Amino acid sequence: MSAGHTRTVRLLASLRSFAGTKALTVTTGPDPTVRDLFAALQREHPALAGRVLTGDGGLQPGMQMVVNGRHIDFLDGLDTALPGDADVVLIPPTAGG
Amino acid sequence: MKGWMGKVLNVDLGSGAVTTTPLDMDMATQFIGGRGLGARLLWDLVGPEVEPFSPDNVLIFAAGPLTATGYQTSNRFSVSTKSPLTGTVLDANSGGWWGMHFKRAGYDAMIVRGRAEKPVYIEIKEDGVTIHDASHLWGRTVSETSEALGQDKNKRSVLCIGPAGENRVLFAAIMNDATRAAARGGPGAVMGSKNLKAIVVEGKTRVEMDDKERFRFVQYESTKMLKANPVTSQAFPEFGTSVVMNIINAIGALPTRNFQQSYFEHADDISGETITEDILIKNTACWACPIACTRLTKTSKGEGEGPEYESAWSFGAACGIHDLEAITNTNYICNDLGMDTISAGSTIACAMELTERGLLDSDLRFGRADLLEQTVEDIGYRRGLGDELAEGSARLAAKYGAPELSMSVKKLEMPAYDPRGMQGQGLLFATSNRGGCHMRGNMLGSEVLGLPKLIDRLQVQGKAGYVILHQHSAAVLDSIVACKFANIAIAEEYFARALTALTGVSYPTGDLIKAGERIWNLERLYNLREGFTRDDDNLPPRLLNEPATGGSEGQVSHLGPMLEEYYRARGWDANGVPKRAKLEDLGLAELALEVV
Repeated sequence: MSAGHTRTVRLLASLRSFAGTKALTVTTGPDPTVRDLFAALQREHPALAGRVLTGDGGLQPGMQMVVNGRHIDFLDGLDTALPGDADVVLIPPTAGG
Repeated sequence: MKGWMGKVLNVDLGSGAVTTTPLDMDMATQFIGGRGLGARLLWDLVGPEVEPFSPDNVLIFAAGPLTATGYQTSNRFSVSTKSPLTGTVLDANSGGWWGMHFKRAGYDAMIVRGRAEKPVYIEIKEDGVTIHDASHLWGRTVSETSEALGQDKNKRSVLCIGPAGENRVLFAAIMNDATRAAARGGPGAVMGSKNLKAIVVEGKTRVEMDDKERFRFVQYESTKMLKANPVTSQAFPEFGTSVVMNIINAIGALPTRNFQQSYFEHADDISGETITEDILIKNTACWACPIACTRLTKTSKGEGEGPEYESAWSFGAACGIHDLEAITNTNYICNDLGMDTISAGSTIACAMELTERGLLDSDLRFGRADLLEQTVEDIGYRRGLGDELAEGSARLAAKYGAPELSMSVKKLEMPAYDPRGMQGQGLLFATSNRGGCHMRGNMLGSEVLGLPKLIDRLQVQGKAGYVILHQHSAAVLDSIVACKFANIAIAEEYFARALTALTGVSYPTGDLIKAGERIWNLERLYNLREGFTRDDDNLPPRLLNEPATGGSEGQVSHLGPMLEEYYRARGWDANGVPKRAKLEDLGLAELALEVV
């Protein structure tokens, strides 16, 4: 599988401590979307996916995904394209400031 | 009388007179307590002719009806005065234990007037109030003063200023319980101008409740909500406030190098996750708080509390610094000297940019972590360049010919959110009654975290309504008084029910929010009376003209249309002056006659 068929997702806050790493790289296939990324997470990291995703492959309430600085809610949702250089961040329910 | 204690303590430091007056209950029901009561009293007591450091300026310490009841986060109090940094109405708010002990000593509020001839401290007990000589404490740090006066959070609570307050650093804090701070806008400098070093309180009188059983039931429900909410039960205790550092950076809204960029390449080094991993000893809590967001930390030089998000940012990203050890040590020093960390760090960042642009002759450069601790000490003691930095960034930047390099609103340095990446937050900063501030309402939840519901952070139209709701809610929380973090899990409806059960005064949720609007408008009137105008509801030109970087690349703040929408939604005219109909609706028309 070429490097173009993988995507890296950064983990923040409790997801980082849960997974024991700051970032995960998953195999998505060519021209992936957020939906493909979530499917890859379910295959390769089922424990984390169980914490983050619903049964039908969406984000659990309170979970946020940001792609290149934008919440996917204001992009194309699960159909948001993930270019090879995309900065993909997964954020659990949190607050601060 | 239930909920309120019914008494206001008056201390005139000039004459030494100590008196007690009844709390005006009509005023209390309209303005509640804390910040609202403070603003209402300040309106009567401190007019435009009074300079902030005049003996005629007052310090108002006010608890709220919820304070000391045991309700979740009911430990807080506020300090109101005319700000020496901004010239606006000011209240600064703090947690810990002091507010609880103060109210249990039998008072809702204390008004301190005049100036003592020599340094003094006030001791408040249920059986009397005494003014003591404090000459032996003058010059001592917050930790030294707290220890000397017998700080014991369980029975005797010390509130004091450090050397920064004595030296009238314009952003000096009032500290209580050694590490809690009422910091923004310089109330510590006003306290220093009065030669008042400390206020010690002891109190055990329980707050009477109108319907104790109902109150305890609302409290039980509130506890369940705090436990069920993943933010208040897990995220805050585990990572503290700095957990948002990486999030704000990911969306390109982390002000970096004096807001020249909005993305910091080293943000993870100063994040809540790294603080937890590298320097955290344990988390701790204020009185009656199950959230426990406070960080007890250690470095090679010692132990202390923090840094909180704003402090890690102001000494970190704002200064281009990612040395967590240096940031943490600087935060300890800032607390011990008694200063606002946001203004301190942001003023240093301003000096760094002035220096790099050749306008100021100093060694300060972005990234110079080695200079942080010494610079903050120099500010606190007004040594060398520190004496100029002690005036805040607006006066510093103006002095060196570049007022646009002060990242402030109404001379108050803005906190750690770039308005170019959070449009609503920019409107909030511009319209905040005490200047650039995220505690007069905060769009972080709505625009970034999805609390309670995510809205588009880059959208402009429709933002005014959200901002106004947050501003009123904050005014209520600052007046009842409760911590804003509790409001993440506990909706306003529950605070209203608790307040009603406690006081016997009916506070439907809508009426409570309307009290918040009343307080907001009164503060606006105060600033108008001081001469502030629409032109002061503004942001630094950098944020309106220079594009952001990172996840908000290319964005600027669109303040103009948001401000027009905001004035309309508030029932104010095009100059930002409340209209007669709005003032009548809020019961402020008569009060406003001298302004509107």
